[in-house]
Formats: sequence, structure tokens, C-alpha cells
Amino acid sequence: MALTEETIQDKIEIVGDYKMVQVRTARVIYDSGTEISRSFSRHVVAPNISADDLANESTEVQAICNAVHTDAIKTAYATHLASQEI
Amino acid sequence: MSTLTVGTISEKVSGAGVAVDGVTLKDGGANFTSAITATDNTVDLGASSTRFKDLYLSGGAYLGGTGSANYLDDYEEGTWTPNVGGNATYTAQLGRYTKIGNHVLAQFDMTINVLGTGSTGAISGFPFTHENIMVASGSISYFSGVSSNVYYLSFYVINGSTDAYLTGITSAGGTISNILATFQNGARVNGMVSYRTT
Repeated sequence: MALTEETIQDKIEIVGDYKMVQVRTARVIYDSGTEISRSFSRHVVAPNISADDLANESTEVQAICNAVHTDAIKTAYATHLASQEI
Repeated sequence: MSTLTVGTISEKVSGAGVAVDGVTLKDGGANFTSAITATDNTVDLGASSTRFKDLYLSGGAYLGGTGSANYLDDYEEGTWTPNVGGNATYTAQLGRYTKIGNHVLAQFDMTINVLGTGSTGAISGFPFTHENIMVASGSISYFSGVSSNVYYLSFYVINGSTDAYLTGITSAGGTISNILATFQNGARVNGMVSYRTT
């Protein structure tokens, strides 16, 4: 019996008016190559992410964010956040 | 294992059917030469003493009706990382979520070590984007080490976002303040929120 594990981003979704990039990270445990456990953690990359924080994302997420988080989306999201005080 | 070759198996007594103790279908599986009769709303899947074990669906299930509002297509549990942005550091960042359909229940317990450039009045990092219709009110069950003279502290998740703004009251009988500047070094908040995602 040999336990191994890997961490993969197994789901990346673009959702909503502001192209939020939802990332699900799976921690998968294998017993002799057979998956025996899969647990999830999630984070979301918003259009207002800083350049430093974006650099810490995976290459794939960076590419998606650079494609969908246009200047127009960033501006619209910033305007939206500023209008959300109840 | 012996092989019995037959053309047709028929019931011995009309209406009694044919009982088979264990069947394995191989190669071509089963071919039905006449339609399978299905009756609406009469057949149970399993019973209280003869339950199935696990159910694996690549789609969803209609519960209590057959409309889109009855369709449950997602369930997921996991973790997330509450934060205040900037260069803040933490001594604890615990987040758990359960997603049922389009509804998210998110719990968190966050203790800030050094706030730095982090927000004093917002919590970020919620695990799913909140729908862009109306804010979702959360509750804070415990807080300590906050900067204001806080009598009451709560928060709401912003529309179309994964951020939440703090609200609170800082004087006896006072009115509630929005984006309450509360966080500082050593502040701890523990709370939960239920909200709809897109």
C-alpha cells in the first residue's frame, strides 16, 4: 500500500456579470494509484485582484483572468462595488 | 459454471412472472422487444429496509416536482480562506462551506495578526460569487480585539461579488453604520452566512 497525493485545480468557472473566475482546488489521495479521497477548497479571482496576487495564481488562471478581466470589466466592477453600500 | 441455452423463458403460472436469483448481463446486455411499461408516481426506488448504498449522478435530481425549480444538480463541501486583502497576516484563517444547489452556507473564523494594508471594514474570499440581485445578510457570533467600541457587529455579502462589508453599532442606542472600520491587529471574528450563487 502506497499512499500518494496530488493537488489539482479541477474546476475553473467564469461566472456572473463581472467575469468572476471561480477556482476549485482538489486534494486527491491515492492508495496504490486508486483514488480513495478527494477534498475541495475554493477561491474566486475578482476583476480587482492586484497584479501581485494574480502572479500567485496558476498559469492557467492567470491566462483566463487576463483574457476576461478587460479594462471595461474592471471599471464596471469597481463602479459596482462602490455602489453596494446599503 | 454450466451453460443453459434457451430461447424463451415463460412463466409457468399466468400472472406469476418469472423469478431469477441473480442475473448477469454480458456482451450485448439486455434487449427489450416490447416497450417497458412505466407507471407514473407509483414505484419506489429502494425501501426503508432494502436501501441502495450510494447514488452517482452526472446530472441532477428532481425533488417534489418536475420543474426547473425542483432540480437539484449540485452538492459540494469544502474549505475557503477568509481574508481582508492587502498584506495582512493572520494567526487563523478557517473557512468551511457547503453548497446545496445554488445555495451556499459559508462559515469562518479569522484572527488577524498584523492588519497592514488589509481592509478595516470588509471580509473577502467567500467561496462562490454571490448572485447579483440583493445583498445577503450574515451573522457574527463572536468578535474580539476590534478597534471600535462595538456594541453590535454584522456583515453582508455584496451583490455579484465574493466580498462582504461589515456593519455595526458603536454606541448604546446608536444607528447601524456601514463598512464599519473595525479590524486591527489581533482582531478576531467568527460568523456565517447563507447566500445564493449564480
